[in-house]
Amino acid sequence: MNTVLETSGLTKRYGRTDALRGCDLLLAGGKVTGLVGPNGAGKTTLLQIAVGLHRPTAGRIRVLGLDPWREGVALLSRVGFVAQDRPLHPGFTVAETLEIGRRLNPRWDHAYALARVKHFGLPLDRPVRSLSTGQRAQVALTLALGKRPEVLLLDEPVANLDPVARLELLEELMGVVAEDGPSVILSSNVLADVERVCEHVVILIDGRVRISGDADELVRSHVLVSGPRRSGKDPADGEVIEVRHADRQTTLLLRGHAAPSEDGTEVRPATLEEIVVGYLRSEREEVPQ
Amino acid sequence: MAVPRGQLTAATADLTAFPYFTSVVVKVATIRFRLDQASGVPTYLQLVQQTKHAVRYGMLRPGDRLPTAREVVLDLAINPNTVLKAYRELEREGFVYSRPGAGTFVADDAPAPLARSVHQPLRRSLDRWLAGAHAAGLDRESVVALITLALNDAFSEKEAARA
Amino acid sequence: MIWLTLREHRAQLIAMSVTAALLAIGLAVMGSYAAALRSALGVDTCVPLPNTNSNCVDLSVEWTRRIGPAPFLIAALFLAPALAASFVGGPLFGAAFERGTHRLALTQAVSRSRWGATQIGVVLAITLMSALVIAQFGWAAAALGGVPGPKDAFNTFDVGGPPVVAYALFGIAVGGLVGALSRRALTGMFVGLLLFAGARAVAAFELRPNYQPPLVAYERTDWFANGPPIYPPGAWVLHARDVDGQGRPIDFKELDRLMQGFGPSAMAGGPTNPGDYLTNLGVRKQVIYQPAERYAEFQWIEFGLFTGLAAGCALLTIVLIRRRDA
Repeated sequence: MNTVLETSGLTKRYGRTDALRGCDLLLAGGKVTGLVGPNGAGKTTLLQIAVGLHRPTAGRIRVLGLDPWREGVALLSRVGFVAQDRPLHPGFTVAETLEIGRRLNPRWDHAYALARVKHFGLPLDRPVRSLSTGQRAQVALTLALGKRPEVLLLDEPVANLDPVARLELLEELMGVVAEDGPSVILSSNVLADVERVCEHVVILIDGRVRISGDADELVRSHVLVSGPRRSGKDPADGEVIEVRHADRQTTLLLRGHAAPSEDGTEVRPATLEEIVVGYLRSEREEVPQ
Repeated sequence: MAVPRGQLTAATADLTAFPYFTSVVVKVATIRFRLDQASGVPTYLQLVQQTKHAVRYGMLRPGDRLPTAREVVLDLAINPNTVLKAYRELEREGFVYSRPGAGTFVADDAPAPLARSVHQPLRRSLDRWLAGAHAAGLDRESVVALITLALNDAFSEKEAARA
Repeated sequence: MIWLTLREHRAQLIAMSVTAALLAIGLAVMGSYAAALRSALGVDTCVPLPNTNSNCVDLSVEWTRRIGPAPFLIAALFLAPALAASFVGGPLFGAAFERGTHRLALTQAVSRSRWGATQIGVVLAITLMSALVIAQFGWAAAALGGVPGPKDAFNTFDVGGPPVVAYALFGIAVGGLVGALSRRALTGMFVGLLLFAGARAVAAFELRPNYQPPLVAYERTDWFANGPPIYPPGAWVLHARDVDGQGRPIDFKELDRLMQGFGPSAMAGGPTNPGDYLTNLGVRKQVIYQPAERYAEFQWIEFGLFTGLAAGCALLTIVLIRRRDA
């Protein structure tokens, strides 16, 4: 198995805030990994450190075996990145934007980049500021893809996109994965999307890696048990992640197995969203008031 | 070999409950998959099921090429490995075979399409039952709940019998 | 990276070059006209009439009327490096950081040093060319200056020759540094301009007078004198005051005291001109100055000073870009 990203004890402090606290992560190559977690959990920070924009306060990170801060140029010829706000020069035309990629990357497939842009019907001589958000997202992605990267790091690639543009971007992305097989690490808050495209999921909460595992495995191993309100006795075997009590009903997120019982207890597989939210809420409740 | 038009229309009419359509282009039939994210069924399993249905009901004939992983994901925005996983499963169960570089094709010895003589009477008796349920005052949700219970019982008994 | 720099800052670089060209043309044309007019009117060679210099004043007035608003070009020349500092230097890095496009560039396969240094280098190179052009027109500023009498080179110190080039380079560099530090274009523009003005003021008022130790000369006292003050020709006068025979400065009170004896002295056959009387008492004007011969030397010292500052700011900017989070 080749490793695309590994961190150990990765910490990042901005002033008095700890954005990352001792993250340990090992991600295998050739997969699509989703980075999920609440805003401020450290997803953007992790990605920006991975791409050499920020320097870790402590700990270690290697992407494709390279140190992003010290070996950035070598790394960035093989890694494509799109920041959350998808920065582009508003006055540059589409063609000029692609030219940036051509001039600043040693491996650049200009024909491929042009073909992609043409495929989306983006006229080359239109200034970027006159494009829609979805079109700009495609241009920014093309800029990252033009160097035919081995790894794609995308910070909330579908944020602020209308539903059609969102789907189109994901389709395009998966098309690229099917064709060229780059590893993809993307952060997102839209768990439905993560469930759809990601094979591996990393849950980041408060700067720490709460869970990192295969997506199918996660969904298979967590169930939602709901039944008449009870306290104390556990109905099943496994680790209770989160308990929620309503007036007469208790719902638990369980990592393990459970069976329905005659008193009306229902068991069903948890969705990825329920799993993430469950971990997140349980983490918050642990914080002493 | 194109599917005779009459048979095709009849087949699709019977399959209105099934969420896909088929387009017939010369010799190559392609299937267009649909994803139901809310169903709780893993994506790859949905692809497997849809393919099996298509084969069983003659929408896909032996030798027809299944869409490539790339074609599927460009349409559905799912992970290409999911498609590959589905195709591997189908291959394991004998529905398809894959030729590196050429694609994945429906196997010659795939389970034959269900004959109309088999599923038509079943469909008719189902229609009768549904009419009875409706007359008894069951709404759609109740019907679905009843059928699901019965399905679960029936198929878990079958698996227990096999074991 | 050169292409990107030129394309990204295209508007500012073109504006700067065009402005410099227009300014140069304006100065050339109006400067020649002003010089020709001066000699035609004989403004500089005017000899004052015995009791009044109104004839020369009239000539001056006539010249001023005919030259119109052209002397504003001197202000433009003076302000040009400051404007470059603000409009080209300030946004150089400030705009990129503000818009986030630095994250675009720095995630291509280009090192931070190359990104920073190429931008600074290219912009400074183009600024250098523009500045070299307008630095040729100190003579035009002098011609447009409107001060009658022999031209004092030091009058046009700030608007001609090597210092102009150095000011422009420094302006870009300090604006660029502030922009990179604050990560905002406006801050780069305003604070950069302030720092530029501050440095210029400190150099002009505190440092320049002392690039070499000033010389001291003594001239006839100005009190009760006819005509303009007498100074060493072409000198840059730093201080001029009257001192007595022992070198002590003389104020009004002391002057009054000394003049007590004027009446009796004149009666006794002494000088009838109060200026002569004071001179006999040893009263002289002490002039602390920099001689005209040092003009070129001072120009090069100031050039070196601001070029050094420019290099320092540029270097600091690159270090900043290399070490800070993007």
